[in-house]
Amino acid sequence: MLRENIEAIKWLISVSKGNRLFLLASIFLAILGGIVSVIPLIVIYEATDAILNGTIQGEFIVTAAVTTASFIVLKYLLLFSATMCSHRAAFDIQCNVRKDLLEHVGGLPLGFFSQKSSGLLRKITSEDVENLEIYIAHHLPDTALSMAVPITIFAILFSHNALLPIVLFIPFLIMVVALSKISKIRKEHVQEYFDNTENMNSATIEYIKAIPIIKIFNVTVESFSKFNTAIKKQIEITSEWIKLSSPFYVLFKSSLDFVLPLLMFAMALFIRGGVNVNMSTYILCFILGAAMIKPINQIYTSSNLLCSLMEGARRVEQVMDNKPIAESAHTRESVESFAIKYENVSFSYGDKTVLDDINIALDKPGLYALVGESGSGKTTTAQLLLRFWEIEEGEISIGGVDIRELSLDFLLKHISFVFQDPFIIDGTIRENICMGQNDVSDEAIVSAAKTVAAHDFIEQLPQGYDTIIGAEGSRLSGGEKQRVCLARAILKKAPILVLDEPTSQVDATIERNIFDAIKRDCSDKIVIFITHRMTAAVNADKIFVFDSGKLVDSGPHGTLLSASEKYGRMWELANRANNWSLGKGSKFHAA
Amino acid sequence: MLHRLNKITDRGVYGLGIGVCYIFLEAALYAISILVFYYLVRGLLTQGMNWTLVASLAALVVFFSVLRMGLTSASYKSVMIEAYKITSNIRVRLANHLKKITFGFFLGRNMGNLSNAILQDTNLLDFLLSHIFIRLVRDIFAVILLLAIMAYLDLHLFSISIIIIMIATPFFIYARKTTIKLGSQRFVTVDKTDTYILEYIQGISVMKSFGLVGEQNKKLLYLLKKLAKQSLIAEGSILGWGMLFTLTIELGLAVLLYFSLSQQAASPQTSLNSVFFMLTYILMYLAMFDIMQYSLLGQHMLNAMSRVEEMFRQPVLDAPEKPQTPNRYDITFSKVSFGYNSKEVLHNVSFKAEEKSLTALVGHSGAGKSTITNLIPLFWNTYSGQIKIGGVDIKEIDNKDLMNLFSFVFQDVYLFNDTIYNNILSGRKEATREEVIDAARKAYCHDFIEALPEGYDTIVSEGGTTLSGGQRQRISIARAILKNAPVVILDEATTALDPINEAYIQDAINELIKDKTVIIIAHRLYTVMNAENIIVLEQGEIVDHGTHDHLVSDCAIYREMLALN
Ligand SMILES: Nc1ncnc2c1ncn2[C@@H]1O[C@H](COP(=O)(O)OP(=O)(O)OP(=O)(O)O)[C@@H](O)[C@H]1O
Ligand SMILES: Nc1ncnc2c1ncn2[C@@H]1O[C@H](COP(=O)(O)OP(=O)(O)OP(=O)(O)O)[C@@H](O)[C@H]1O
Ligand SMILES: [Mg+2]
Ligand SMILES: [Mg+2]
Repeated sequence: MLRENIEAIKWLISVSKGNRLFLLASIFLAILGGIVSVIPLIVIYEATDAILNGTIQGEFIVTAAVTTASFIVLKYLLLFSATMCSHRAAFDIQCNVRKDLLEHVGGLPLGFFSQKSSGLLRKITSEDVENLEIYIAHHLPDTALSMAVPITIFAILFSHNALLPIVLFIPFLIMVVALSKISKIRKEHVQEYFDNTENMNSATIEYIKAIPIIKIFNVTVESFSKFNTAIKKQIEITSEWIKLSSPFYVLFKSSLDFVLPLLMFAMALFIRGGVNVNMSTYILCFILGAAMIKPINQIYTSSNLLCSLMEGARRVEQVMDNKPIAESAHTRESVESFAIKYENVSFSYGDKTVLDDINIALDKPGLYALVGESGSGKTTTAQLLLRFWEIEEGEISIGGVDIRELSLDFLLKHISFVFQDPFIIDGTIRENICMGQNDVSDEAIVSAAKTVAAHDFIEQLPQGYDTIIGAEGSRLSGGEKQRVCLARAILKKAPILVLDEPTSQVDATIERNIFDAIKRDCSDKIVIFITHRMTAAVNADKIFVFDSGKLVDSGPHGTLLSASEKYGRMWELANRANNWSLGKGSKFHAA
Repeated sequence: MLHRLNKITDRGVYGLGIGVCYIFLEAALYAISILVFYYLVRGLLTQGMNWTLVASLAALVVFFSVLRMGLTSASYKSVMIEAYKITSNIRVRLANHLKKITFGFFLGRNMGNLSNAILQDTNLLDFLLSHIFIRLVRDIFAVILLLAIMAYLDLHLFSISIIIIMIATPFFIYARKTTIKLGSQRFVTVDKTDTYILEYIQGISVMKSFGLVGEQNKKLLYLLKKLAKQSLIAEGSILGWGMLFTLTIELGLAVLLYFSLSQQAASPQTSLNSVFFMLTYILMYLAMFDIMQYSLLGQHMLNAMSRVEEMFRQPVLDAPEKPQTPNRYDITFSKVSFGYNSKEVLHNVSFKAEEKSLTALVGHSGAGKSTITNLIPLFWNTYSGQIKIGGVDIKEIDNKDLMNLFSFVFQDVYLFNDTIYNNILSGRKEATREEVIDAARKAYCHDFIEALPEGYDTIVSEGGTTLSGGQRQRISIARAILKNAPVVILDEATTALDPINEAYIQDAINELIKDKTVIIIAHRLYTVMNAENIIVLEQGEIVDHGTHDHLVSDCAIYREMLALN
């Protein structure tokens, strides 16, 4: 228990930068408050003595009442300030830890997120860190106070009678033993409990996100096994835990109930031995025993929370221990040009090789397309440019500088990326297009929207650009979402624009408009786009054809059509419709 | 409170009753022990007792204490275990309930809010029931019994105490009110922050590529700071009022001291009673403080419960009175109009999708294609007009049976964080391994699955991000094929596929049409030109329909789309 405490305090100190003074003040004030809180009880004792001996004087009455009242008020002042100090520190620390955690997570390679679900990470940042707040805000001063009170009480009692403190001490010892046993049991279970809560979190978030599928495939909660197992397990773990620890808990809780009978036995012994003890001393002992209950219960809850805190802290630290993408010591903040070059790049996810010796050179502004069968490595190739993953072999450079030499900030600032899955934040269309930039003019937003053929449908929405489109973009059609994401990337005005299947969900007319506009507005940029649509690919100045992780052909559409078997076949399949109607010689072509 | 709780669980809360009885007996024994001590001290003071009597009284109290220990133990055990069962039951019911709510509900809602309702709020309830409830009850019993002892000891001082408590009570009420007001405000911020954290994590790639990580993300910073500030204010004011309450009661001790000393100075014979009165008062207020703390904590939990209740209040789809089951599977829309909100998206849509045939919906992005398909499984029930399957109104079909009629591939692919095998299997739980592999073959994913290091047992990350876009889509097609339902709806099911894989899938779809009603949404017309019926949609209205040939000759919009294909 002690070791845990020390560990916890070490951790607390490490995360409490800037708040240590508040923490110290809080602890100090609380200890003072604890000592002061016993004084009124002493006055009561004096009064009892006076009453039982019949030695009350008028003066004493007033002094006793006033002393009691003023120390009570003092105690409250001390405790209130202690708690406010601790709260102040707690909320600040909590805010900082969350911020650091989320910042750190942002620097990790994407592989991290394939292992950790968003529900789990949410649990750590929200709930586990919340424990930190509760502990610091409430339990830190309370623990300080709880330590101070019993010590003061023993000291006082000892000064009255050397033997009576035993009456309090025996239950106290039992309590300590029970408490350490409880901690031990808790320690054995808390990890499993936390793991399970994390599973429950992941499962719940998944369940909510997948509601349409859950409905259509009639996935019942009972058969959504992850969720159901987690819930069942929760019951199992807790009942097991309760079963094991409840005897000790009861022992702990009841031991102070034995103060009274022990006191009575002591009285019997003293009477038998003819030792003359003041009746008021017995009563003092009784009062002090009662006054000890609260602080000691506090120790229990605190140690309980401390354990969760430490387990939470462990999880926070686990996340923090993941190494972020390394920045080299001397990063560069400038490049001469934005020419992109992939040289002998190979890459694998774990032990699965996905890219094999890729060489691409994009020297001048223009439109470049990556095409190829699904799973051939197009997305991976593009994302490597953002250093979302580290490559094992080869080099990617911008303007002749290895991207590992560039600062991450610089790199990300100069690349605008549209991901294959449209991601919409919970907010207005405007917020979605600006994405964190705040000094953007309305004209710039509208012009970006026009470039991607989104202006018209946005204007038709009830509140235009200020329409809230909700998390997951749930209020837009698939193609509309996609265009909002595109507008966002256009607005960013980076010299490199990467679009991963930007038009997969829009119709041919819109696709044509978008590409015409990009050719017009982005003529000074290097635009890389991945596409499955041959109608889009023809827009490119140069097309790169991927096949199972290899770059098999490259060149402009005209050349590839005859030179690349793969490309030719894709083109042919995509043009079935036209060929077909041609074959039928329908009116369409006559018109 | 228990009454409210009883409504949201179907376990019934009466299981908690036994624990309450135990704890009442325990509190009673506690009060009796104090009385024993009182009589002992009185006896010693007045006539002097021999030590054996004292010792045997002590033994009696030991016996009581042991008994109390047993009772506490029994009561905690039964209450805690029952509490966990109740909250688990609430969780399951809540999740099941969410499934029955119409789809529209989820759209206006942020994820943090929903997941908090299932997780955090039920956790709070859990804690309330398992830890706080029984202590609160115990302390309430204790206070009542102690007050009774006080009244018995000294009526005069008792009435003074009552006055003190009455003076203190308004502070308690304020504390409660503040908890309700500021607490629920804080809840809102907590929700917002949580939702944003979740969004931040789920959209981490986008956040990164826009330089919105950590410190640079103003919204995140703002929310975290706001939460810290709001929490401090809330906690501070709740604590302030609460402390004023306990301070007043504790100051009562000084008042009682004054009165009992003065009373004593006047008439010395009641001496012991006033001493014991003060003792009992101290015990009483210690318990009272706990009550305050617990009930303020409880208030947080009532807030949580209100939110859980709100979820339960969301109307579910009405179960039809006489559920019918269709025996044909053609789908007809007659004069269907629908809007997600005040703006109508579909206007007077009528069409028929024949059995064993392919019906295609084409039209510009935003024309209302997905909307039409989402109405068929009754994801929204606020449309006007009629939608029928095999001549039966979909509202007359039991919701579960209705769902069994469809295989659906959604425009947004969602895979579970589970093995590939289980993801496909979720299409039909009772399918055999052969059937799963067969479905995978049909959806052209068998080859790439086999090529994965762990084959079908490869775990797909949340949302499927460890697979390429087209791979994910093919798995969702396999899942739909496995379900083998009579109606197949494919909403842009091949957008992430290259022409080669698309052609393979096309074959699979042609295979499906033989004995099913198939509805396809597509932007690339070559994928649907074989359809018996192509419906052209423009701004929520059907402008024309028919075969490819018919449309090529008659429909300008179709021609325009085709020209660009
Ligand atoms: N995060 C990941 N972890 C492990 N494997 C991955 C991950 N992302 C992709 N892969 C695998 O790498 C291969 C290439 O994927 P990538 O996403 O680059 O393909 P793609 O060419 O973009 O395909 P699509 O057109 O279907 O989107 C696939 O076989 C895929 O399963
Ligand atoms: N949940 C919603 N709330 C409000 N409006 C919505 C919602 N979903 C869609 N809409 C609007 O309804 C219209 C039709 O959307 P729908 O998704 O049916 O289009 P779609 O034809 O499927 O388009 P796409 O080809 O782009 O997927 C669009 O204007 C869209 O903005
Ligand atoms: Mg891809
Ligand atoms: Mg759609």
